[in-house]
Parts: sequence; structure tokens; C-alpha cells
Amino acid sequence: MLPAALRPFLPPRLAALIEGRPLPGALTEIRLRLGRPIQLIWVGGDGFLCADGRATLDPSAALSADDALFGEVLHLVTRGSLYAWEDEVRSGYLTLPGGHRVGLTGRALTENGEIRTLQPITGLNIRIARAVPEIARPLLPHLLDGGRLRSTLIIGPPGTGKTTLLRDCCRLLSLGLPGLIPAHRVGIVDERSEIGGAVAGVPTHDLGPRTDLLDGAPKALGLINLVRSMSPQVVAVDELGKHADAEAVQEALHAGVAVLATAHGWDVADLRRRPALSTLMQDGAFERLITLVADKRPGRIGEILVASGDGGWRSIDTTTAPRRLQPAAGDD
Amino acid sequence: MLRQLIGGGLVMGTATFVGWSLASRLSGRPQQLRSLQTAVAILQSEIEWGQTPLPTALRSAAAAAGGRVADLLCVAASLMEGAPAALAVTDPESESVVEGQAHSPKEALRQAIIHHGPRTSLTTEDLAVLAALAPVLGTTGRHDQIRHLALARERLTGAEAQARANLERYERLARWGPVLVGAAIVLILS
Repeated sequence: MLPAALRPFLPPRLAALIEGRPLPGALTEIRLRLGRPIQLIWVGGDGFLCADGRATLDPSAALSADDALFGEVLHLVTRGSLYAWEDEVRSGYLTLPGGHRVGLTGRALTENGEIRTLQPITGLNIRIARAVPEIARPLLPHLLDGGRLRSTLIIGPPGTGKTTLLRDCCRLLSLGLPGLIPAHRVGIVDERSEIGGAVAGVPTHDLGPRTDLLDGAPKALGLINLVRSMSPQVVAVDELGKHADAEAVQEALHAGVAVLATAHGWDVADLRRRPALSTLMQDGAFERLITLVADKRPGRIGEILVASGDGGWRSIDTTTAPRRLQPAAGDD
Repeated sequence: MLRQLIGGGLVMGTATFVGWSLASRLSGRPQQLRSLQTAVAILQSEIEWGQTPLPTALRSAAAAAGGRVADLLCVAASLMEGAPAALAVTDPESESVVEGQAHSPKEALRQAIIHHGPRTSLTTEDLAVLAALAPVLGTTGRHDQIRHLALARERLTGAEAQARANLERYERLARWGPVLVGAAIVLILS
């Protein structure tokens, strides 16, 4: 089924077709390429959409995204105002209410070696965001040591649920788990509006009662601003990758704020190959590393790694029951 | 005698009504062209500085324009948002408009012009300026939008100057011409 927040952004006939017949798994992506078959991707597989709503592996039997249909979807996702999304078009994606992301491709027009815009836009990838509450509950106790939350990096290939896990970590930390984890003041820098799925700055996902969201701000700038303005105990950012992001993370850590972040990658070796992230790893910025693996359900944890102090990592046994904290006065 | 009086009164009444309607349309055109220019200027500003989504920008433009021009722009905004029966309220015969379905700016503006254009004092040429905006509105980047809107404003300014000249030249004729014709008919028939 399509999320209710996404339905207004699809032409009714396309939404009806997609919802007409059940798919083998939960729908994760709808890919429209101008003049080519409409592709559906679900957990565990993919196929092309037929005119009768079936999914087929035969592209020649599938429904094509013709000019009219493609134009209609583009009109809906841009609210008929492409000019209002210039920065997003330049970045190659825009975010819809509910945190659903629309990837854009087409002919790139460049200026001074940088993409100025895409004109025309000929490809759309609608990625469906799904909040999975409680997904982070088994993980959270492992992120604490001596009653203090340790800075954590969640890594995994695309589509493994990094953002979903990060979102639920924020929610639970903000809420607190009585006797197990005290409630924290959480700050989120949500550059792509994927964590909070904010509309006009107001999150559409539950991020917890003590969470401040800085929506749409560049990560590096947002992290520093948030630490200064909202004095969070924890800050969360999605998809670290640039040197500026790494510097901002260091700044936050120096201010005594724990950092929860995600990054693309398969394992520690992968991170060490990326210049910005390898600096963070060398400096011991993160004390916990969570690797995610592809699975039918998002946020499937492969390994929880703890910094061993000598630059190495040791895996911890996730089957061990977390210790309960003694209730402490002043826990907020 | 009584029948002649009633007949004469009816002819004069109708002629006066026609004359005043023609004059009102003639004097309404420059005003509405000025309103339309204001609306386009607001639209330009909303797009350039606010990057405001088109339906909201159209409503702001409508609020600044007022009158019949505002109605036309509001209908276009409602059609873009898929507001139920945006046109059906005022025009039950608008079959091409699907209730609840968001229309492209091109289609929304086209429908609004078709159904609300005749209710304004604007001529077909005036509405053509607006119609020329329909295919490009909202479909390109900011700079391109600004260029198209600036061009539309230029054309509307020219149309207003022409409308004011026509008003000076033909207003009296339009207002009193039918009255004189009516009076002549009454005299001939009596």
C-alpha cells in the first residue's frame, strides 16, 4: 500500500494501479523513466508495472511512463512550481511530506563546472520512507557506557535502513527508556528532510518530545548552529561524507555533545577509504559502529563494534541483555 | 396610447442598458489590465524572492489584483491544488475539469481563462497574453519564469495604453450611441 502522505503526489490512475494488486513485499521505490516502463521495487525484488496493475519481469509488457503521465507526476511532486525547487533539482532530489524522497535525473545544464539545473527532467525515483517505531530499542543499550551515550556511526549500503534506524534512535533517546536510558535533549540536522520528513519545518515523523529539528540546513553549518543555539546532549545527522561535515562533527564532540550519524559503506575498511570519514575514524570520533546488512526488514544489524582504544574495533555480543540503570536524580 | 408609452419606455430602457454596459466594459478594460499587471508583478516577486509555490503565489497575486481578475487567478490556483469543483461552482458545464484532481499550471490557467475570461472586460488579445504564460508557468527555473513574466507585463502595459486611448475616443459614443438609436426608433414608430 502507498503511504497516505504520498498519494496526493501520484496521479490517481497510477496510484490505483499500484495499489490494485498486492506485491510480494512492501513497496520501497517507484521509478519512472520518460518513455520507458514503470519500475516498482519492493523488499526482496522488483518488476515492471502492467496496465492491469500486475508486476511483470517483461519490460515490453509493461506500462510506459509517457509524456502525459510523466508530466503529471513531475507537476505533482514539484507542486507545479519547478522554480521553487531549484536547489533541490541541482542536488538531484527533492523531499516530499512524510520524508519520501524523489530522485531526479535528466539533462544536466552546467555552469562553471557545476550543475545549474536539470532540463528536461526525464527520470524520477520515488523512494518511500517508512517509520519503523521501536526498531532501535534493542540497539540503544549497547550505545551507552558508564551511563553516557557514546558517539555512534551507522553504516550500510543504500536501502538498508540507516535513516530509519537513526530516526528511531533519536525518538527513543528523546523519550528515554525508564530504568535503562535517561531521556536526552536531541538535536537533528536534517539537510534532506528525510529524518523528520518535515513540512514547513514541522516534522511529520515522531522524533520524540525532547527533539529539536533543524530542517533543510547543510550538515556542517547546521551542526554548529544547533550546538550553539539549542544545547543538545545528542546531535544526529544523516549521510556524512564531506570534509566540512567531519569538521563539524569534531566541533560538536569538542563541545561535549554525543553524535549519532550515518554513512554509506559496507564495513570499517570501506570507511577508511573515504578521506573525510577516515579522518574521523583516526581521531577516534566514534566509539560505536553499527553495520547494517540488506534484509527484508530495514535496520537489520550486522554487527555492533566498540572502539577498543588502540584504533581497533571489537565486536560485541548483541544477545547479552543490557544492564538496567539505577534511577538517578536529575535525569531528564 | 398606453401601449405606445410602454413600448417606447422598453426600447429606451434597453438602449440605455446596452449603452451603459458597453461603456462599462470599455472603461473596465484599462482598470482590469492595470490589475492584471499588478498581479503579474506580484507573481514575479513571489517567484523571484519567495520561491513561493505557484498556487500560493497566484492567490497573493489575486489578492493584490482584486475584482474579476482575482476570481480568474483564484480559480487557476484552486484547479492546481485539485480543490473540489473549483469551476463547477461557477460553471456546471466545465466537463473537462476533473473534481479533486490537481491540474498542471498550463491546464489550470487555460481552464480559468476559458471559463472566467468572458466575465472580465478583457479582450481576446488581452487574455492571449495570459494564455501565453500558461505553458511555461511553473515548468522552468526562476530566471526563465521571471523573463516570461516581464515580457507579459510589457505586453499588458501596451494593451493598457491602447485601452485608455480607446476609452477616451469611444466612451461617449458607446454610452450614448445606443440611447440615441433607441430614441430614433421610438420617434420613427410613434
